Amino acid sequence: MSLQSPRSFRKSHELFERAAKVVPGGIYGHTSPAVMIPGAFPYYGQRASGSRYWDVDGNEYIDYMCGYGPMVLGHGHPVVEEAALRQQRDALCLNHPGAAMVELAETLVETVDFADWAVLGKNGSDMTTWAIQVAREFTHRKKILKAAGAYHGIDPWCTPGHAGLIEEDRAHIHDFNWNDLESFEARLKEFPGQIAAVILTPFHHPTFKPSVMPAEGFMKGIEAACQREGIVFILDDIRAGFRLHHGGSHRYFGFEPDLICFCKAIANGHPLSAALGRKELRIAASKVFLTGSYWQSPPPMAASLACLKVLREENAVETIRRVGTALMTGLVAAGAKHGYEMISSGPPALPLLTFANDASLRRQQRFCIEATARGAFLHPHHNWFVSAAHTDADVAETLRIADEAFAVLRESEGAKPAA
Amino acid sequence: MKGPLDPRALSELYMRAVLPCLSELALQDEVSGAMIAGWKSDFTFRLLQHLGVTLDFRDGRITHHPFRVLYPDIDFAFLSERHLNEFFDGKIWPPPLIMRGVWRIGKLKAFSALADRLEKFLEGKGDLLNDPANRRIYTRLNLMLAGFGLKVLAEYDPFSQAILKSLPEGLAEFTIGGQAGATTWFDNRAGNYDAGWGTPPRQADVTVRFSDIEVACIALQDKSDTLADVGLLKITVDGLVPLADGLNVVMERLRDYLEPPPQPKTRS
Repeated sequence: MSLQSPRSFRKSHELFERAAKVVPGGIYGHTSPAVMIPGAFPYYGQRASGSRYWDVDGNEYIDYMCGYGPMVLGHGHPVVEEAALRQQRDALCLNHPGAAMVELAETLVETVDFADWAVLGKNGSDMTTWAIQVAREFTHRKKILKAAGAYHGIDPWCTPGHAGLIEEDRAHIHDFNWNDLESFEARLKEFPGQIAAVILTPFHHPTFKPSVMPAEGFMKGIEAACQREGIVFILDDIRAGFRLHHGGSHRYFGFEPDLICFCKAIANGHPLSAALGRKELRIAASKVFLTGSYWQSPPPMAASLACLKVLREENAVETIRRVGTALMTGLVAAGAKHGYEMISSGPPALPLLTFANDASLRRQQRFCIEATARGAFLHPHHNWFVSAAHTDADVAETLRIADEAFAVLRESEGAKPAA
Repeated sequence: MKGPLDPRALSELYMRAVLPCLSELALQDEVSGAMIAGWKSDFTFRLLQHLGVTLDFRDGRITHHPFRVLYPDIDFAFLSERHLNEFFDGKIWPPPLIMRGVWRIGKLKAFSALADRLEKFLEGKGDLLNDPANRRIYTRLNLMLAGFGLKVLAEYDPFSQAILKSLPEGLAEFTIGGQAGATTWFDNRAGNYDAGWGTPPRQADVTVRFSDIEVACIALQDKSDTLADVGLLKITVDGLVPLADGLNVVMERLRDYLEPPPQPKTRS
């Protein structure tokens, strides 16, 4: 089976050849070609607008990755960009925080029901790592529980990588199984009085696998156990925050954590992250040192204020839910038309389409290559992102593309199995 | 993060991953082939109280069996894992107990020379790899060692077992473009691991393909930026990517066992 795209990625490859000489990995991290299908997807992007982006070779795509999440309102949203630009004209980086920081903290505290305070950073890892420190400071305990296979960032305690780590980095980090309260309770029994925090994403979204929603009672069970045992419950809402509910994903799923971490959709692409918490954690939070070279830069905060306002005023999560539902329902039906049993996992705002009976992932990869070659950028291994800029017309075009992609796949595999 | 090395794992690596490479050495290296021409005998290696392995020399070929034949011509036995590991690491005293065939001095000397040659090719030190023919042999042998090493580590090394537990099940093959038969494979099925050299028993769930022997040679020396090579299509990964990624981590663990600890780097 050929895994080449009919699109030209000449400039992407030329850039990568240059990069490979001066950048370890060429491109590192989650956008590395190695995480996609090298040669069949673009490596470098050029520009973007609304629900579309163009790679450096001029190929246009309906963007279902949204910069891996941040573009919740679509690329280049005029209200957000104007707010950021206006702030930037005043100052980019000062000796002090600006008024925007105070205004944003106030807005966030008003937005998230259980929160009494907020701090700001740049990336998701900044917040998740700081949050577990706050939990340790508050509880005077060492141990952290997390779901096996969950992603919480790139710091040594949680990075999915293996290089550069020492045993001590994870001596107090322990896994339990997602949706398995028994395995969680077993950890509580194993480490009585020693667990500072449980950190969970609102739904389980491991790379290379379908997403898994929280089972009925799972999050409530965690919440109750944390209250009972004096454990801080941290919600890592970096990926899903503000896509499922304007007030945080705990509202969507019906539970209440003690700390919540946001990033991605908080400022529609401007570099910002945040952590918010209950008043009981306020003193501990004030003691855990937190800073960074650009962390008090006002423009991303101004962008965030504008982004959160638009999200709320335009009821963007409902638009995203409706479009995402239409997309995934249509894709499952398109697959069925060609004889494929498709699995739509995750919430409609952050969906993933996979094939049943595709242990090697080759069908998934081929389908995403064919769809991307036709202009719908579908990641084969990572959950997708729907934005408020995606339209019904985008969905219709994507479903037409998917129909062609499924047909190519079917032709390469032979006749459709009898019903 | 990787934890201490397990002496039993190292013993098994020597017996079940390093020794099998002799069969490929005899096929690929004319000097080694000539050394064993006319041999018709079998050697066994074992830890006392444990199953051993057999090297069967016949018709100019060497076959490795993962069991000990009953009446070998020469039977090497080691008192402990440490005894075996130190011997294979070059510390020849105390020597192994030769339970059978002690009078076959000539054969023992010849085998020692053959083992030295294998070690030389597996290590690839000095100017050995300046010669393209040597690079080819080095690369094939190390790829073979990696495949069999995966199976041993899966069975004996706690760090590797923890990694494998988090990986999808499936068969992975690692192959080199333009090199007939240069394919090593590992079947990751919990509790029933298998590995081999040559065509795998079924279609691989993931195929890692080095575009040519030079790309593979550099990669196996840990001297290439393999992520960049993947982007440059010098290395392709087709299929179950997370299995290949995880096995790569286990393969790196092999170096912890079989290579001396790296020295602090000096500027070149």
